[in-house]
Amino acid sequence: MKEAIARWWRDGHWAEWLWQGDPWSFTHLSFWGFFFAVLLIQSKLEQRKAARNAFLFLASLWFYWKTSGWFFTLLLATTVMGFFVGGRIHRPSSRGVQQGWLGLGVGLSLAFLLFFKYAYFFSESFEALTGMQVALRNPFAGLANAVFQTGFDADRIVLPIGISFFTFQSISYVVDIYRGEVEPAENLVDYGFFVSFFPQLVAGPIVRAKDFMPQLRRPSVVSHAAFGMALFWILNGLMKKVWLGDGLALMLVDRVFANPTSYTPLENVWALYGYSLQVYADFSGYTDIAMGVALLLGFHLPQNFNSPYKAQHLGDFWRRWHMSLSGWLRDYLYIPMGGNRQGSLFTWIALAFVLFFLMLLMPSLGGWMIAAGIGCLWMALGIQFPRLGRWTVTTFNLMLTMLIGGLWHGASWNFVVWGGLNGVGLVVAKFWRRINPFKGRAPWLGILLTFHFVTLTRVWFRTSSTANWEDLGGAHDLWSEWLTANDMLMAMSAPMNWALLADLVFAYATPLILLGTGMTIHWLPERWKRRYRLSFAKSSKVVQGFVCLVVAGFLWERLSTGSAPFIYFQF
Amino acid sequence: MTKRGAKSGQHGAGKSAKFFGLLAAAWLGLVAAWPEGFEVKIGTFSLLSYPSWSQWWAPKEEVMTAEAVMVWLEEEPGNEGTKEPGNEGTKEPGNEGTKEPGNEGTTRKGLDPMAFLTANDEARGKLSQLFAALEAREFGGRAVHVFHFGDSQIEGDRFTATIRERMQTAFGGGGPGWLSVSPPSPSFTVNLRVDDPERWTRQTRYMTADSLISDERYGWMAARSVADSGARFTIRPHPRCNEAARTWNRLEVVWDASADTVPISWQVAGGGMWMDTVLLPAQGLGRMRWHGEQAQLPISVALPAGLDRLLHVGMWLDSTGVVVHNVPMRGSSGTLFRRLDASVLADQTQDISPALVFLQFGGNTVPYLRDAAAAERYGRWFASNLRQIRALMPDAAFVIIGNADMAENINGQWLTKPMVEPTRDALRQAALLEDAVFFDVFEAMGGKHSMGGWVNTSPPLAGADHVHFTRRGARVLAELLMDGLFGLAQENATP
Repeated sequence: MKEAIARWWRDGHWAEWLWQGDPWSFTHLSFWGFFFAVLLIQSKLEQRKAARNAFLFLASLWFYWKTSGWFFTLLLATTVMGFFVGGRIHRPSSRGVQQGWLGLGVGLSLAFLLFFKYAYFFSESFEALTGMQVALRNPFAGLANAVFQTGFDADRIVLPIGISFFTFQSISYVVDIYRGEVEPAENLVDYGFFVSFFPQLVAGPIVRAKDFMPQLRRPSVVSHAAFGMALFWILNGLMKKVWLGDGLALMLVDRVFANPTSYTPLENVWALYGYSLQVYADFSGYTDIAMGVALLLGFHLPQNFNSPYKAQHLGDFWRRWHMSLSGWLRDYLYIPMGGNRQGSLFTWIALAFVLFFLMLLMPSLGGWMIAAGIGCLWMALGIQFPRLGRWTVTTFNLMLTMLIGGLWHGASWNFVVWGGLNGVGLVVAKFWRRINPFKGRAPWLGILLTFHFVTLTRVWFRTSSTANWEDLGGAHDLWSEWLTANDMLMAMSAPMNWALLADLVFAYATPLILLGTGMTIHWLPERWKRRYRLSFAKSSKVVQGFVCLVVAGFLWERLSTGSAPFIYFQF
Repeated sequence: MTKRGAKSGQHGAGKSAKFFGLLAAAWLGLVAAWPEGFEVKIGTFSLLSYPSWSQWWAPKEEVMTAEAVMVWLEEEPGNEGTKEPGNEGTKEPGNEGTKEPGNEGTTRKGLDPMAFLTANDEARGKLSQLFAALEAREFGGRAVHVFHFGDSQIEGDRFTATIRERMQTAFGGGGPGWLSVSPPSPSFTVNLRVDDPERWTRQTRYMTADSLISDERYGWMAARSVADSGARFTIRPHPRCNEAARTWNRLEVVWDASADTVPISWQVAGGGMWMDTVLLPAQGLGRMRWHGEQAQLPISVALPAGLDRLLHVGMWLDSTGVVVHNVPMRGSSGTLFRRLDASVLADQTQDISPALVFLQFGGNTVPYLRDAAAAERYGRWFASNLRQIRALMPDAAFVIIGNADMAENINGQWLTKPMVEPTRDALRQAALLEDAVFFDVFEAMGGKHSMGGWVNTSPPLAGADHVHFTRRGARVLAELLMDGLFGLAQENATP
């Protein structure tokens, strides 16, 4: 032991742990070392709010440095810009000036996001349209190399982890100030802390200023029950991610999605259902851990999942799945477009935005003409039939929200199909709820239908996602993703040879048990879950410690460098 | 409430830190109390596991990174040239980690493929004779059959597709080879669609064999399909099927005539085929052949109505020149050949005279071996099966493709399973004993702890299970294998 510690020091591993090496993900042991250090220092600062906020801001920047390296300067730039613009909007001035500042704040945030997320997509589309080669340069990398003497590859654009999340937080902050719903942060440190708070920095939940900023002005308070609950969320999240999510990915999902046509229809179907559970376990697992870690530091993060596969219809599903993003899209996109009442100028802007992406995805004259045709037809129908026009406008609001939600995940046809299917599903579900003659009866039928529909749409979602640290932020291979989704559909629809059933059940017994266990726990009544959560939270520290040790025994092999990244890191 | 009161009623960060500190101490205490570690398993799935004391404090192993894999596969020729075939085992582990990235791109592919082959004189001679005969087109208008038996590593035509492509490009030939009506996994080579699956029942000798089946009349695929009257299937080209595999002019269907009513008229529609030969023995295997000039897919094959049932043993599509059969046996270790009814095996290949046989097994044994002695026993068992196959295919040259690296997560690192190398050694020994060429996949991957790097390349060369190769990974290795075999044949060719 002494020798190992001496070696750690002598060989400079401590410096690697501090500055380089693997990123601090919740599934890496090194993160928990960092968090332990944060807790120790935080214990001296609990009652001194300003010092505490400053310390947690610095700790968050350090965390982001470990996750994304010099991109932490981008986080700083976004922070300074958001704080400055927020202050300007709040100053007494004419509505027009405020709108100008708002446009600047939102525009700059979106510009960062669009550049890092869609630069490859834009350049490839441009090349396809014009036949001209585009030499893509990363000016931020060039700047960092010049200023900090870093060695970034300026010819490559890498997506900074979590950019979507902190950009959305920044946008909601300036919009909320403009709407008068929130006061601007008192100082840059407080605002920086709000934007970069490390538990939720890289994959949400997307926190609103009005929910979080008041907590900065209060001392950190963690009751014994809150401590127990935080511990529960952390253990629950780790088990979900590592044991359930990674287990399913390793033993079933990844191998089938890598090569769907090499597997039988049943294996493809299992893999799809496995992925449906995996993506939930992975993402909600991350949120659970984030909530637990934040709670231990005395901060509350909003709920992001509410047993989404218990949803009785698609609208209900989106109120339970990634709630902070759904809420964000509702408040800053869907309602400004007119929601379910009318259209607005914003509808046109959103439509133009989506059509622009679709045209670039289909870089041909025919594609442009189809897009223009859709727009003209819609206008003509609206003028001719005002009632139908209103219906189409509100339907378009819904569709556009889902399509933009899809494109937010990445510029790929597969995400367009995924978003489009969800949009159509929402419209159909809304219509069906109006005419449903079985209202209130057999709710399980709605749950089953919704679950299967959502699972089917995962075909397009999964084939555009990556499972490797190395591939995060890479460009989408549109054709390959499209083919893989088609291959999977083809493989699933092939006739099944049921004589293979015993062999397949035998071969996949472990992932099938995981799948069954995961779904059973998911569908347990909420009151049961509340009961065992509270029982754990109120139990003695000895019991809690014992459970921690058992769970650590479950997970220890993966609680280091072996675990796959969280799926939502790439968005 | 006073400050002190507030403090005592709360669980501040200090108390949390103390809790986690105690937890870490308890963990270390547990690890110290069980210095060998302990593990609760269900099957091969580790439910609960604590590291051993030495594992916990052990320095990190040098594992092969994705960058190192790319460098390894693009290395300068000659860097490995000093390594004699057969000496691979002496290579120090961890050397891979010292390879400097940046050498990539200097050559297209610099690995010396022959460095991974081991063969005695007999095996070399046989292989070079075969390649010389193929080169000289000595086989005339006949098809030259190449078999590739393996476990799940070759499912979906992985490895085989490259072997087929390389051999058919060099020596001519066409067709995808052996097909199964109900394969464990679909193939990329052709898309065989069973039109009415309820009329077909699959029986295999590997995986979970049906204990009610008392006979061993499975044939070389170790699997058969029982068809009911009127059963049909259609063979279509797969979109990713290469041109040579798409081109063929003969279809042969084989069934077990001793067990069933003999069908006298299978119906073949499409492809421009006409009946060529019908062999209807009183017992043994029945055969039916169709011929066509450059027949094309799709074709439909239907059993005649009024038939009781039929044990369909196999079929293939081929043409003049090399035809390569992909025969995957999921879960198998290559030790079932001796159990199969030898008369059926002999009957099945009696008039086609296989010329080259690849066997690719070993991976399924690795998790179940306890020590090196058990690996040696497996090697002897495998050798006895190899002997049996050689006796049935006396003219064939043999190539054993060794087991790949398989990794497990130890202390946060994906490390080679302990029995991978002993299994490789045992297979190599068996190959030398039975005059077969041995291809060392494990060393070709980069040796110990290389699998993690293969999984993490972009795009990945191996799957996330750290066991199976992706199509891309399989192609890389199969290219190395074929480069090596061509090189070996060339080196030993008599002028």
